[in-house]
Amino acid sequence: MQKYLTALTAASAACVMATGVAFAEDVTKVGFIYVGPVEDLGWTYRHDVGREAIEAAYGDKVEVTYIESVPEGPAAVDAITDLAETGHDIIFTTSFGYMDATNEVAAKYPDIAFEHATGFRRDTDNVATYSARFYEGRVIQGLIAANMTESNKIGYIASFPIPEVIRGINAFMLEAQKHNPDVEVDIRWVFSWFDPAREAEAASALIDSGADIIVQHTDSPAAMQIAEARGVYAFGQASDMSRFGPNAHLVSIVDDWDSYYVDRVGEVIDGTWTGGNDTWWGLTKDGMGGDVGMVVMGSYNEAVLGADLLAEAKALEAALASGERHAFPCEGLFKQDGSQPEECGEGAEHLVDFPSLITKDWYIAGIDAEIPQ
Amino acid sequence: MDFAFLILLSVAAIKLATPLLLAATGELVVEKSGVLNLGIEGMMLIGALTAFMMGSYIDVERCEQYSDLLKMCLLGSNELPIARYLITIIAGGLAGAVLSALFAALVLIFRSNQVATGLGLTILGLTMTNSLSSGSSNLTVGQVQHWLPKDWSTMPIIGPFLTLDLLVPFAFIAMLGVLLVLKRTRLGLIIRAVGENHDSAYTLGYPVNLIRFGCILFGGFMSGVAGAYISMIQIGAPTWREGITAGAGWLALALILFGTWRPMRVMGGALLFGLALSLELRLQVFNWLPGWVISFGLPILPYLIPIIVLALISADAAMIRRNAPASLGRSFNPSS
Repeated sequence: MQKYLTALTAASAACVMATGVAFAEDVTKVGFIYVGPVEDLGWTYRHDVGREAIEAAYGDKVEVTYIESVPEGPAAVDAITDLAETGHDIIFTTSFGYMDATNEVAAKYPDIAFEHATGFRRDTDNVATYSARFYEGRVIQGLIAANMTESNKIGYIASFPIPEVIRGINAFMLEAQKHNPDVEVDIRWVFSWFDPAREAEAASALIDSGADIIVQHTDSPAAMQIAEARGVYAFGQASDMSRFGPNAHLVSIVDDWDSYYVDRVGEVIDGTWTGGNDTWWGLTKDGMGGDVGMVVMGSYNEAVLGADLLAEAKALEAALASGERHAFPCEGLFKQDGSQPEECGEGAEHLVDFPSLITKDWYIAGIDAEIPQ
Repeated sequence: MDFAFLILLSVAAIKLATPLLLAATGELVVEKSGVLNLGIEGMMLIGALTAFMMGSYIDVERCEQYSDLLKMCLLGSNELPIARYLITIIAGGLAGAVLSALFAALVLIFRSNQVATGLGLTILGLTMTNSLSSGSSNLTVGQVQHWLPKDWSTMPIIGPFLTLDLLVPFAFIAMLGVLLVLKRTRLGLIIRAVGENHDSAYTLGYPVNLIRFGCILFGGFMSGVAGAYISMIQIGAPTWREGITAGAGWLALALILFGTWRPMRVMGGALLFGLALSLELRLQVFNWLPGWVISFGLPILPYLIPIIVLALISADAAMIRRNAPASLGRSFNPSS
């Protein structure tokens, strides 16, 4: 709260100053809305690293503010409006749950650029969305988990039943089943992005039920620490979490927003920014072996994986990066009810990022559970 | 659901019951002396943050080593030796006691309304910890100390219980100690006398406000320790986030009413609440559960059970009357 107030005070003070010298200055103001605290060492931390990249790239030409721990849902409207009212030129709202709030505020401020992470609503021209093909990392995790598990039970800590999370579970299990047909996934929903106590409880509950590998789609390293203490393996999420579990850590899916943020802010400075578009970068920007995208595999634990599995994982990473492999090939892809996804019927080789993956409300066959509403 | 599952469920329930029991032990003494302190949540939060910060502070070497990398201080070592352990936990308890002293001064000296002051204490604890922790460390790489040899935890049946922290048996012993003091000692008799009828106790020559002050400090200390347990031990690694106690203080308060001011019933209630808290994520193991139960039914379970039980208890007004300290919540004015 303190930081929130400080940010606001600073922002309003800057706003007053800006109106005084409106024509003299050409500082571009960039605002961020964070769902967690900057120190979550996961999701929000990586966005904040992206914010620092903007400052490093443009120095005095930009002024970057952020508001952290903003609740998702209607409450976010106030925080986004605050940024809009204080003269920000581009506002990044960095969680799925800000989708409606972002579009609501964007409709009122047509001259401000809005960038919403992981969403799919772009009601007005000044809204762009961006997301990472995190599921490419899940495929690699699936391969590793299938080979490493002894109990054949994988524990999966899920946050909210939104497309991005469902997609991750599906990508993970689709690959895991290929390498180990006996593998089962046990999903626990904690209904929070950042709640170390609940994440730790979920990890304990999973291990108590026999899971020997923990996958998480939440933001704190609590589960990694529990895995380390209990002697099982775990994957890091959003940032490199290897230091939280030197023995437990297998590999982390690291988000890298830096180049996207620098690009987009650069476009605002140049006046070339356009909205209405949706950007998805995976291990590479184009998915065809180009520049490094938004997903980086961090710190493979060679001592635990062994040379063979490490080589296999890296080969899979390379195949996904070059476009040789896709995360959701149609071959062998069935829904829980045994049918194939519609797009696969039209001779497609794999599902495409948009729109089919974004509207997912089904699990693949082999996942024995129901999606919470 | 096999036997091993039930064992592990019991361990989880005891683990989550511990902070509730610690705080309730303190609050029981406070209420027995005739004071209602609704500020448990605030005192727990200040205890949690103080213990966490103390833990980071006394590990200076690690702190400097990591601060360049993460711009924050981390309690790094994989072990918490007994001295550091005691310092952090006691620091948390003392912080709770300091905050409770403020409450004591307001309600005993200035005779402010206990309900309003207690609520104020909760809000103060919440906002104070939020602003104090802003921009500071949040998560650490430390691990909780296993006090017993690690391979003992593989023993059948009792093994999992041996992984529990020292504060767990302490919480149960503390409650038994309070039971003993209240029932069997002169001090307990005086505390109860002050809580039942402060005018009579004063006429008999007991320093009512001094006794209450001591009880409030004890309550604050225990709440602080409960908070320290949450931030330092319960999560598996020292961790801080804003509002980390997540309503545990209110559950502890409900426990007193649940147990109708009787130590053994409060203890049983704490275990029941702990069970409800641990079941939420554990019941998800049943994959035939419909989606709405997972998203709605299970999360409200730990709070629904206390509400139902409290409603049942409240239905019998005589039971509450029989057990509640008669002077509970009333200010004492010696000059009147």
